[in-house]
Amino acid sequence: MIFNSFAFLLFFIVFFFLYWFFFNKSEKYQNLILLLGSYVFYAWADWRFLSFLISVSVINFYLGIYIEQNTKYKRLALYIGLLQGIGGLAFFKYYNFFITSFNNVFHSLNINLNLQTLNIIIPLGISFFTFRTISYILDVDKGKINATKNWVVFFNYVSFFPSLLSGPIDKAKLFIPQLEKKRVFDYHQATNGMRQILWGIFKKVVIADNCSIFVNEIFDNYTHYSGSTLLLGAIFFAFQLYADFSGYSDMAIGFSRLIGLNITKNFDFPFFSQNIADFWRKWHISLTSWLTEYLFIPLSIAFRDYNNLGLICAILINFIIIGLWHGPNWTYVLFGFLHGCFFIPLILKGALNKKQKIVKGKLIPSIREFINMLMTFTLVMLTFILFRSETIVDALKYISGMFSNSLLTIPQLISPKLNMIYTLFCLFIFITIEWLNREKEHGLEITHLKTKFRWIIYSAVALLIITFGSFSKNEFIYSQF
Amino acid sequence: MKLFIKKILAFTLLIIIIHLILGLTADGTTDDFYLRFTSAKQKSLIIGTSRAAQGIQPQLIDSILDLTATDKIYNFSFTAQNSPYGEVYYNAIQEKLNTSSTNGIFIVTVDPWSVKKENELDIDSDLYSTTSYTSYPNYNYLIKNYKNGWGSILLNKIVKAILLRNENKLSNISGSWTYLHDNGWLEVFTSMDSIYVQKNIKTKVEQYEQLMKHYQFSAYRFEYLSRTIQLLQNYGTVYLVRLPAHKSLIKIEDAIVADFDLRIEELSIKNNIKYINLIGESNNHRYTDGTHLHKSSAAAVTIYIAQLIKSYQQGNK
Repeated sequence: MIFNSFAFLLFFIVFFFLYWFFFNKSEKYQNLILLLGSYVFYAWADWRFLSFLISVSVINFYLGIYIEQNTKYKRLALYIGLLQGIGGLAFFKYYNFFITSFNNVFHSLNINLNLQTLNIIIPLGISFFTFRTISYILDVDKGKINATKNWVVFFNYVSFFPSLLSGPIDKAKLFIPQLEKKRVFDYHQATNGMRQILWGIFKKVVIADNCSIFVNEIFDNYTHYSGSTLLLGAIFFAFQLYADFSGYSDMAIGFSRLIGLNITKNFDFPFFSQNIADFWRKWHISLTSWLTEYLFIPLSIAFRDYNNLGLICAILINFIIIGLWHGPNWTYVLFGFLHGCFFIPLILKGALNKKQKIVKGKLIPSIREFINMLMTFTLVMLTFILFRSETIVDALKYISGMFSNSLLTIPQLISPKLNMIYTLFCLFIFITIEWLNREKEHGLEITHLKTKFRWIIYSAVALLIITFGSFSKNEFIYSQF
Repeated sequence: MKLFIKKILAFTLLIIIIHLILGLTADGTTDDFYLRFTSAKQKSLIIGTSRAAQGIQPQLIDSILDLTATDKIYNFSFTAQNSPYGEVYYNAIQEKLNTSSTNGIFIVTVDPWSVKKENELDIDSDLYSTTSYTSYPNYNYLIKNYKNGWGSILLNKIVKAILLRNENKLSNISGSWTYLHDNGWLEVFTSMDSIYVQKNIKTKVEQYEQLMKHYQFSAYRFEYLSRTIQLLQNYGTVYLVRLPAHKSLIKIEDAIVADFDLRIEELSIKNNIKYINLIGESNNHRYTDGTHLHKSSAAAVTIYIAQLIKSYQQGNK
């Protein structure tokens, strides 16, 4: 059940009315219906792992309480929690990857290990809910939060349906307190949620799904196309990935607002970043902030005696984990490693934490800002080729095809040509709106405008969705992670 | 809350009304199938895949066989993915058939791809998901099968009208595009520049070479071809036709089902119907991509088929 489907629309309408009209007496009832809704949503997507999701919730709920009681087995409880989380991820997501990699390494040394791979089905959303449970027990252990004694609240935190399958990865300290209070309907919060949903739908069905038509054609047949067309394919993919994932996040945040909850912002107009550090402060914010808190900071403390070298190592490890988080493929590992490497010049220049922002309210960036944006985008776009390719070899072939003599020719128009022209037109509108609203919460946050103009803009966006939207039930890219 | 719901309802209502209006504007510019789900039940039909959809022009048959008004023949062919022979297509034909007549003409086209053993349940076919074949406007079809925003119905209408008027000037920008006529014939507008066509043929041959690796002949589909013929024989005369295709495609088809023509011959003898095999004519025609006849050749082939049918009819008299 994807957000932009008719099934989800019906599900949400029923849920909305039950939540606000029949279960609105107290936070207890609200949480109960929310949990039920989340489980229906998850079971609809894949019922086979609902029991796994519930088991994970039960284990971590009791571990949290146990860790907080500070008994002599506190450490053991923490390790069990970490083992369950990381072990679960390692088994479901990475077991076959590591087995195959071991086999290949030993095979190249003429040793035939022949370790057997397993036919494993990965539970939907495992990367997202596992990170939630890990952060919870770590925070309880560090005393940053109190373990909740209310199982419905905790289960809701683990399986909150708007962010269950593709994030954002909320931290308990921000989310659980909201569940412990009764939610009261707030008109402004709800309308802002609707605006964000509308913008998310636009990103998904107009930008991402239309770009995907050309991305699939170009990447699947890259040997047939000129360098400039491959470049266009890579640009399309960068926008597809961004619009797809940030569109999902916008919808998740919007639906949460409709039920009176605020979840973490996941994107902050990353393609207008001034350097790679700036990019990672704006891209998949909930994952990067999670890893910064639980991995990068502990690593950089551990390596602090080695100065810049220690920092570089911490960054590289952090980014390799970010890459690997996306899936069991060396393309993701290399993607993360390269992004880690892009930080090295910033570390050496001492500019890692220097926030370079385009001056507020400026309509046109300076030449320097524009060049910075272009260079950052180019670096990101090139590494996204790894993201889209099946293997590193495919990615390298694609990139070498791109940097051939034909890079300077006019790109070929891919069939259906008219759709390509429409997509370029929509991309132009998309970039313009995002640029104009880059200092806002999301692309369609236009509360400063008069009601009449706001409605004109809503209608225009709806019209673009109705006219150029593709409704082929394309899954969200990040739901596979 | 009330204000919020009021505004949402108003916005939703507006969106629904806009969609209802857009649905009314759907026509032959909408997509390659829509009109075939809106026309009335038909006495005479052309059955098959995209080769027939593009390659047989009903208006030419009508004029040669003097078919008028409700007797006119209708092209009810789709594509190899949507209308291979099977239960789904059989049921769709039954729905489209005007069973009040017994003197219809049915051109049943065959090729190895229409009897391939793949996805035999045809659940991905547009014919599977659609329950209504004759309603206009057909919201049932549009909701289930039209994968784009409905605003594009109007956009296509405008853009294709412009393209039709400026076909030569805009062909570079527009690329290939289609127009579905009221009689079910799918007209394809595409460049016939020899380099472009050769490239299309090469791509198509590569695709079919991939397909042939997994190709298996389907006894189930062949059985349904036979059932379809028997169904249609109750309401008129059936002619089996194999349309020409580019020699490189024929070579592939010969390799995957070497005795295809023999099987069809046997089927025609068993059902006492004529088999018009035009594969021998393949070199005399132009193709847009190797598998589909260009409209000029489609016209020639249609005239040839119609004249043959006429001669059979006269022979019977």
